[in-house]
Amino acid sequence: MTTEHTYLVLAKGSVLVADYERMKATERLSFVGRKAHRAPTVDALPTAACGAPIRTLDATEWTGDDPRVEAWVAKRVPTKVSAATHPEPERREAGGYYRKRILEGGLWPADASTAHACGVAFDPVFDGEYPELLPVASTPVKAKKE
Amino acid sequence: MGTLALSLTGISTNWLPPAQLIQVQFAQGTLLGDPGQPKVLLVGTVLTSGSATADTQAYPLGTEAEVIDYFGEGSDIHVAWRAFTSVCKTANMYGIGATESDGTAASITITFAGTAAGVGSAELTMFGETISVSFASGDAFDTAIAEDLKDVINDQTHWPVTAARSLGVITITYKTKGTNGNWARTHVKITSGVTTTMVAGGTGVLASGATDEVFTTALSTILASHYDYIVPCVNPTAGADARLSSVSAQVLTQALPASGIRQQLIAASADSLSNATTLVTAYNKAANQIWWHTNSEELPLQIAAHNAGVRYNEETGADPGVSYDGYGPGTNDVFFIKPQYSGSDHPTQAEINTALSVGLSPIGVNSQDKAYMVMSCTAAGADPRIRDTSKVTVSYRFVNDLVARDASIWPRAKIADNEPVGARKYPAKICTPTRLRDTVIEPVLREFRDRGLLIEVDGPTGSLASTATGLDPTVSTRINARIPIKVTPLRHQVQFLVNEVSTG
Repeated sequence: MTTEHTYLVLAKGSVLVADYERMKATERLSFVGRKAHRAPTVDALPTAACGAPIRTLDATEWTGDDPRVEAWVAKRVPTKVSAATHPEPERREAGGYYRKRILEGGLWPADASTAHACGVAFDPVFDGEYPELLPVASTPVKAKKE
Repeated sequence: MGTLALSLTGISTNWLPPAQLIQVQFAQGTLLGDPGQPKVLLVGTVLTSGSATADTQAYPLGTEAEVIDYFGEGSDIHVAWRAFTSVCKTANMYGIGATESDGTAASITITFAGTAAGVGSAELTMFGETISVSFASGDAFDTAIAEDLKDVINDQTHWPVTAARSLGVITITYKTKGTNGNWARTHVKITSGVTTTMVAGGTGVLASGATDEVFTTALSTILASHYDYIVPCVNPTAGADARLSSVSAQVLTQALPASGIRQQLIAASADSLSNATTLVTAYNKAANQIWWHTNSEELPLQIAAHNAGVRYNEETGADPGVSYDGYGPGTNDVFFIKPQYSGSDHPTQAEINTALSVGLSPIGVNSQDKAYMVMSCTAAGADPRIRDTSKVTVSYRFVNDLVARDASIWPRAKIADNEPVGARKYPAKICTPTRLRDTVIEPVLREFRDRGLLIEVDGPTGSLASTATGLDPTVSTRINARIPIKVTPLRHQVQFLVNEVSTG
């Protein structure tokens, strides 16, 4: 459930949305709703990395013998990001920042209230990207014989 | 007392007649060797109106007439050439065109309706330029107003589009097939209260362009050639572009020691920050640069070529490590990129911060509604150590000067290890590790230090002291040198904390 201070989002397709606040804190690449998987080669990446954005690491980031690659795989659960309700202007801008990313199609709103707050339609099936998050169909109950 | 040995051809020490002995040598290079004037390459397509043979050679681009003759008027290379030369007219430019694809050209319709009930004008803005036609009361919307505007569009022969009219509908079609045209934006305006209406189709952006040309053969043609700046005429969509991938891969592999061709790629994206982030993450190499200007008025390829022209101007001067922070509105700046039409597309500080963090080079818009370069970043700028393009440019210039000086001082040299202490000196043609260091490496390091391009050259841990040279332990014909350099960083920020300290 979205509070007035947060949005619930999911990564969308192969689009990378930089995690504004985390990057400020860590000075490392970080993308909303995604986790990095590193491997010596593309072939050695896990199956989950199929279709995820992949980049080759620079020598500055990896000094071993093997050239390394990094796949940004979507997390399978919604991620919380801050919304535009903070008193500090910079934080308000951060909230606007994520809303704009949702509006331009970079993220899925993960619940109806996030979608409503951002002014976009809520797609409860996420265009089939997250089948595990679909509501489980209830088992039909047989009517009792009277 | 200092001495100077000078050996002129044919003059021995026993030549006795009194004389002024003069020898003039041409093409001797400059003090540090001459790596030559930097070169720029535009990679695009050849239109059917162009005379260039696709994929076969890089043509020198001297005049606009030559560009038009080779690649066709309004070709992407022509558009990029104009953008580049609008800011830099002295570059050594080349163009190579790939075969145009069999795909679909992007298009849009502009629809007029209603006979004019008064005097007015109809305006169309594309590629940052505005054209207009005026009309009088009673003018027909189709055979008069739409027809006039269609003619004026076609008069803009340098535009990468053509126009055709059917009844009150003008169809504007991009000249080159493929997705590049999908980034051409239109804005229309007509005098109000005159009955006649003017409406652009869809969102005002050309659409339905599909199937891009392939750069593979053209790139194989220039594989062994060196261009300091390569501008692919590409308007990338979303997070990847096959043409950009092929150029990026070639720049990366050719820069490896076996080829030693050090080049920089300059491209631009007008896509959303999310998609531009995906794009720059895919091409996150230090030799690549991706400018970002969401929903720009100009085509991304125009922005890339324009900014390549700015960089060429600045970096071929005395200071290749120049800073571009805030470049654009300054009185001495040469910068013509326009702000986005919609204020909501102007990037916020948070968006600029994110763009810089992932390696994009954003174009900002200031409070006077002027566009400017926020910072010139490498696509690998997620790593702050290699964020500034000056790090790449200065390092490449250093290496170019190094190899040029080595080639001028030690052409066809012989090799030996350093003379043992006290032993007789080797003849001059023999290059030893110490001689390489003294004659090639140290002068170039000092030159770059004196020009302010490198820091920490001197001192016990500086470049001079830390440079190591020696014979290769395995390959007896090879001298190795390891030279640590530190490019002078740019000052991007300054902090002041002012405390007013009145009491009482």
